[in-house]
Amino acid sequence: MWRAELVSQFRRRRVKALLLVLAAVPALLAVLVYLSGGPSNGQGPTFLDEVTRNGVFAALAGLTVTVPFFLPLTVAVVAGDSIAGEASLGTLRYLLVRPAGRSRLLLIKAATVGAYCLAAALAVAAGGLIAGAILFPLGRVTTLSATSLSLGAGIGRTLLAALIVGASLFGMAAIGLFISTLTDVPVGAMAATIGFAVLSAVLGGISQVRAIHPWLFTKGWFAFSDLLRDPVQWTAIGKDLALQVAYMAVFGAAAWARFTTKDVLA
Amino acid sequence: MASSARSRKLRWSAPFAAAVVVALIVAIPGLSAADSPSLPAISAQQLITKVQQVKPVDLSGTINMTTDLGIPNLSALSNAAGGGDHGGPAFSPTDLLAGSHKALVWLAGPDKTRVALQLDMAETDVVHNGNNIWTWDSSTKKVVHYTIAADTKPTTPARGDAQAATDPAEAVKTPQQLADEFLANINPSTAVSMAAPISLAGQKAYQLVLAPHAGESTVDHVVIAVDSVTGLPLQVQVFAKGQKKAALSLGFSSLHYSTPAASRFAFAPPPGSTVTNKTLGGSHDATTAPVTPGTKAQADPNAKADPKAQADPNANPNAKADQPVTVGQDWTSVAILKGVQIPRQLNDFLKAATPVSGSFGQGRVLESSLVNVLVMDDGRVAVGAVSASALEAAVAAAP
Repeated sequence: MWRAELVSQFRRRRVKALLLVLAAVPALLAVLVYLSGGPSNGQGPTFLDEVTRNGVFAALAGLTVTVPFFLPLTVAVVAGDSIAGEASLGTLRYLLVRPAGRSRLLLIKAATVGAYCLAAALAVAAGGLIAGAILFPLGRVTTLSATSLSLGAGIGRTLLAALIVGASLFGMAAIGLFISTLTDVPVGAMAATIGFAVLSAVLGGISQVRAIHPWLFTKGWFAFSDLLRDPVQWTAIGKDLALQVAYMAVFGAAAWARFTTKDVLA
Repeated sequence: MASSARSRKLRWSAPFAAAVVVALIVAIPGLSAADSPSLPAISAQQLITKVQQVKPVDLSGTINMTTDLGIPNLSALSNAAGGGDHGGPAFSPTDLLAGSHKALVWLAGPDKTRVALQLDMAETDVVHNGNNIWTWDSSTKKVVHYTIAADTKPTTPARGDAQAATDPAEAVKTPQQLADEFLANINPSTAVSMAAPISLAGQKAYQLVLAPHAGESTVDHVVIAVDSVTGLPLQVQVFAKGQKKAALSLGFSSLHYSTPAASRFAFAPPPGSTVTNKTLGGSHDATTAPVTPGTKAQADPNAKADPKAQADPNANPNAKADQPVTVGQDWTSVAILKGVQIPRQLNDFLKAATPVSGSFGQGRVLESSLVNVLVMDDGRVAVGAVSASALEAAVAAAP
């Protein structure tokens, strides 16, 4: 049943369009760098100044650029739509007629949203890698520590970075899923989810509330850059993923409590 | 129906239960870490001797530095000093004035060191290997290659070099360097005692407590944790008066006593980087300033935190002619700099400072829990870990 849901979700025109747009962002970035010659050292977003020397960095720069807004935006669309979308279309009733039960349906929806998070981040990396490979030379990847990795290891770390970026959106996806069970208006759920992400990012920028900073789900979104150090620093990535698990536990449980007790009228 | 309504409500306890589980997982390791390891009691004197006898060890570890000077936000200051996100270097010494910083450290023998300061999506490395010192800034991709002239000792010239002031190796000291400076200050001005041993970075450590007698000092006490086996200082914490948390904390969060791989100390400028070559200790070297005579002022670890003395990248070379004067001794020493030109960007910051005037003249006081700075209208700047009134007295007493 999960497979059927996964296939139908990724066949939807909207999801395809979102993934395509995400892949286009680093590609566009690469084209702009190709045309303009790229920023000089120390200018622009992290990794962008390396793109002209090594196309792999188009993918990393793409992740850096999309992580604060584009990626969470699309995750909010998919997560916010997951339950509320079915409810608004009137198809939720028919899904619940099946003997699978509400808990199982919620789990399948959650897993699908999670798969989208990973696919979205991988789409960014893939778009960057393809455009970077076409427009720029590929070669050894310079780490932040001034050492270099073989091309294969560099691409491997880039894809791992994408997976970590995708996984660090799980907490936000869980919030979106919970909000989606609260309403029958998918747009409302999407907007509220994005609102939480913006709120979290804003709080993260205010030093007076430093005490809550470790608990913000947006805090570890850039931790993937620790993969580009030598030696790789896992502490921040581990903390980020643990925090995402905590958010998934709390908001997943809340979504379950809501969805299994909700009156499904539509 | 009643039972179904109750089960509905019960389900809502699930998210709260999940939150409680998360809180417990976070809290439990913190509780067990508070245990004090059992170590044979030794006197403060024995511990100090142990520290003074410490031999250079090979190690790899992580050093954390936390600064809490009771100042809300210094980003404006660090931007004015040339840091910030836009095109500047990844690291600016004023960044260390607030928040937490992490550095990886590798030591092998007397002439191999690597320090990697971990910044947000950036890194600053300093690699010392034999006669070469490399510095690397991942944001600007700038490499500076210092070659140490054969006739000079490896470390001393680096300290006096004008560039070294903005050098991360200078700002992030190993606990050993910092502790040595404190221990050099021990004399009748200080009450020395021992605190309960702690576990730190996987090692059992003794704790030495130093408290100044002088009332005008802003320092309440300093705690130095010393590895019970190797005698290596593992952590230095400076507590300011009236502040519960350490104002300054510098210590290992992980530590392994093993010789790091030789490749750790190999440095090759990556493609695309710009390399500046400099010579240290050579007679023909114009960029190298002589070793600062005011080492007394330098020995005060708090003077490091002074933004004006260190952070200005456009420091007027003529100002170097006016050597700082030191008034007072030990804990209460005050460094007075003359002819300091305040960068224009800092003017707004200064306007927020408290204006003061008296027989010593007119100026403004920048206060923090640990370091106070008195900026006089006549261009003199007094810095010290003393109360504002003590600063004024020092300015009045200065020649």
